[in-house]
Amino acid sequence: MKGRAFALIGLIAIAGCSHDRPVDPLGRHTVIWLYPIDVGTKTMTEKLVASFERENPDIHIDVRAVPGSQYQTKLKTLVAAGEAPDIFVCGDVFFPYLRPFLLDLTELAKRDAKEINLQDFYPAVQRAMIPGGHIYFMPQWFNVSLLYYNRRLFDAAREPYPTPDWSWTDYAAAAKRLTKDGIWGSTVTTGWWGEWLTLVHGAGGDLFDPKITHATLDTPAAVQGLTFYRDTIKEGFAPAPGMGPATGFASDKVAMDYGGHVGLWATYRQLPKLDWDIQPLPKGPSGRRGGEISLTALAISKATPEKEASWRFLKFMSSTESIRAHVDRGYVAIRRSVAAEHRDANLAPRNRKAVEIALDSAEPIPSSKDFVEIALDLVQPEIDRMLTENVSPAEAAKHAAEAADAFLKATDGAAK
Amino acid sequence: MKARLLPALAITFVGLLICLAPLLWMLSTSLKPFEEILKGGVSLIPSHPRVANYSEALHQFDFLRSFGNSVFVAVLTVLGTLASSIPAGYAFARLKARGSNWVFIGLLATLMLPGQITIIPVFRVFASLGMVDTYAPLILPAWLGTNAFAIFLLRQFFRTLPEETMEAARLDGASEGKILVRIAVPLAKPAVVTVAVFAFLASWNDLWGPLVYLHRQERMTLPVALVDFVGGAATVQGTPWNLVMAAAVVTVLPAVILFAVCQKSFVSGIANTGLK
Amino acid sequence: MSRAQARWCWLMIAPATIGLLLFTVGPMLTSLWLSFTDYDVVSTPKFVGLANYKYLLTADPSFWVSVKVTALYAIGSVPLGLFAALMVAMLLNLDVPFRGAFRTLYYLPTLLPATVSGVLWAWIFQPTDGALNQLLLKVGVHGPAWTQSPSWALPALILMSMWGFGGAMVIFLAGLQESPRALHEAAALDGATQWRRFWVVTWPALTPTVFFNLTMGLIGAMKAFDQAFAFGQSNGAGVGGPARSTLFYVLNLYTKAFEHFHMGLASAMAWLLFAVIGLVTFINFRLSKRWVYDEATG
Repeated sequence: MKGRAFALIGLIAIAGCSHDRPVDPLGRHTVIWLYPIDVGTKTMTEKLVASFERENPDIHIDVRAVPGSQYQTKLKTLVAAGEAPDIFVCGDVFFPYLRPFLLDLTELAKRDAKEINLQDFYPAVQRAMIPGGHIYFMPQWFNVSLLYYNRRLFDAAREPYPTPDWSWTDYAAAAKRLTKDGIWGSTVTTGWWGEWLTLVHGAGGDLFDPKITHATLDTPAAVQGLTFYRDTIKEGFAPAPGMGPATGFASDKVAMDYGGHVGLWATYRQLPKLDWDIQPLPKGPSGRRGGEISLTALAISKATPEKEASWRFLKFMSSTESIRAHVDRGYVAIRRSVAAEHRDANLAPRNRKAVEIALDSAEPIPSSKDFVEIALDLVQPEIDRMLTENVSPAEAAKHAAEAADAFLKATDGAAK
Repeated sequence: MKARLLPALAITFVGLLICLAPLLWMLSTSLKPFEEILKGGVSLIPSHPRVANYSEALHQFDFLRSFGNSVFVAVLTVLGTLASSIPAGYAFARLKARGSNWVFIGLLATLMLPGQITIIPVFRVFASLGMVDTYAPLILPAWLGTNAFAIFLLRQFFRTLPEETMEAARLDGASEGKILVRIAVPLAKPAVVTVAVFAFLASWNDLWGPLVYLHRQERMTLPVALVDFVGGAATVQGTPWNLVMAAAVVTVLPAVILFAVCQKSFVSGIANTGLK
Repeated sequence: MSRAQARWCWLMIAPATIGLLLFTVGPMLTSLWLSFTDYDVVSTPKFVGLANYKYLLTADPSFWVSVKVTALYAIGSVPLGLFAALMVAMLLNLDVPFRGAFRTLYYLPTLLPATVSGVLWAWIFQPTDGALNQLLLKVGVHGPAWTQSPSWALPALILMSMWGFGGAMVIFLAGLQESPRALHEAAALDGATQWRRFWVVTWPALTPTVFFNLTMGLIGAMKAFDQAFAFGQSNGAGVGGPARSTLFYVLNLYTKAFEHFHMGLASAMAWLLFAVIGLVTFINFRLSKRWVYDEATG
């Protein structure tokens, strides 16, 4: 009896341990794609994969779905365990960390240059695609920081709409005038660097020096940016964290959103009452707008046994057909040719020119593999305290910079 | 009932209402339509009870599959815990061998250990065996007596058994193994039930293990699926708390049913062994 | 007899022994070694001596914060929870009707995984739409921004932890029911008041139970992770809540290990925690000789 029990357990244990590369019953090349689940893009992704497999009957894409919030951790864990998927998402922010594990696509891109048509991408996108002269990923869409505004609320308050020539002063003044009767002029984005870093840039400062040797958050320019950020709450035209409408700009009770995210366009479009449009960010005292650009792209693992098949899928996912599908799903077109087709011209936002202006002045994220950790774990808590506990921006900046420096020093010399 | 007990009864009842209010709130939220959630308000009775919340929640994040995964892992874990803890508990209680005491002390010390202290090396081992993203790291340890609490509980219980019964069996020529299986275990039903329930709950509710070892959506267990659901289910108008609560109710249901069924044995098991 | 017994003994504890070596002793030693290295999982560990400990104890802003948060949580939640458990147990011990049903129902919240209670209470504490602030609004009070406020996020978690007092309550109840009835009756006959009876008869017999619950409670609080993790996921503030106000020690450890892959640092944190838990438990044991009533010694 005992023996049989053990055998049964053994079988079950083995069943739970399937780990070799899957062998496709139809003998196709199998490409494993680690995919972050997003309820909104599920259908689009399924359609694209189906379309690709129809056009390439010798390849099968094994889509392995992972909950979005766990994606980075899981990806790193798999890489660490020597089980990297063939294809994975590699946005700008995590690129510095993942770089050693990525297949250099420069030669392949040169070989298939005509098919890819690099010039079709916006210049800013092209620049972001070729860090250090090499191509490591192919993008599907991008986010650029924009100023979102609610036309209905502006009309109701008889305020002129924002223009591309706005300065911080214009922005703050309008926001103050719009804050009344339960409406907020603007909203403060916390939890990631989307707003505060933009404002720091706008004032002429930065989180790091160009060589990323030490933090520069405590320079007067950076502090000026942080002060403006804090003042949006202090001057009363943005709610303190947690005290505003739970859905922010989407609640139709907030007149502007500073920075925002292109990924929310589809969300906003689902709200028929929300009448919104965009402009590039206002210029800071230094003349810079300070917005960021970040790409959502796919990269190939260096260790993949299916280089060619993976590359074909990457080309497909950045092809015109795929970009069109992305536009239909609600993303902004990353290829100029698709943008010119105006597929979604009758949908908000109307002012697409704002995207181009924003792209011209957008700044890429610092290319350090510690950026995310420093920004979220070391700087963000000081920013929280600045916003909620009356800590002065100069003090918050000092603590954040000190922590960042200590961290850089402690991790210096580690395998980069 | 003595009249003087009335105030005590009243207080107890009120206390219970306060204590269970969040659970009732959870249940009530799970049946509300989304519009009612948006409107706010604290009514316990949903205006239009909407059972469809449950099917919606279950489909949105593959909950049924997570449920099945949790059952699979929990059942195998409980079996493993019983298989390894019962003999160990008996041995520590009634048998002597050189050095066995050290093992017992070592096991007790693990109760003080945060699981996180060993996770990294253990993770490396499982990674090198290619067992990441499988259920092996979650199930295997249970079969190797890692549930020190269970062993401890069973040992305490086995100590209360009368020695004469064992002696008599030994004189009859029975081996220790036979004594364990034929005599000790049948007498230990309350303790075994307690251990089984605790082990089931620990596995069912475990977040840390699945969080670290499982990657693919299809393999997730309920606690991770729930946390991910909350993190990723935000819609246009905000988090669909009604769906989240429906998912939470489903997550909790098996534990509640199990407890309701076993509670007598369970409580007497705790009472008899948890004290000394 | 001894030899056969000894063989059976080892046979029966064999799986547990293997498990102990494989999953506890071995990894503990490895993690101790790792704590002196810089290890990011993808490259080989690099020996750095005490650098990790130095960084944690002197330069890492999150370390002492997480120690403070965990300590506050332990000090806040354990006594409160034990108090509530004892009160309810004493109430139930008074032979109220439906005692069995009450006992089960009070125990219900402990069956919930910490993830569910984390999510549930995050919803209740939600600043604008949550039930608590809505209720407060009805009596004209503007509740704080609970989960988004650095000053209120931790108290919210402590309140939430009190909800699970059912486990301790059941053990107290069992302890109370063992309390020698004869002594009680004798004391009552002697004219002792309720209060005095409690102090002289009930409490001493209860002290071993209190000690057990206190020990397990403290250890549990120091290891707390699930609820803080679920709480944080539900309200979208950064890891550890606004301004790290709910950055539990183990949450900090998890983040360092599995989000940023600083395995060496995380191992150092784990060992420091182990040392503290050991110390606290040891002190607890020592102090217990003062106040825990032991039948043998009186």
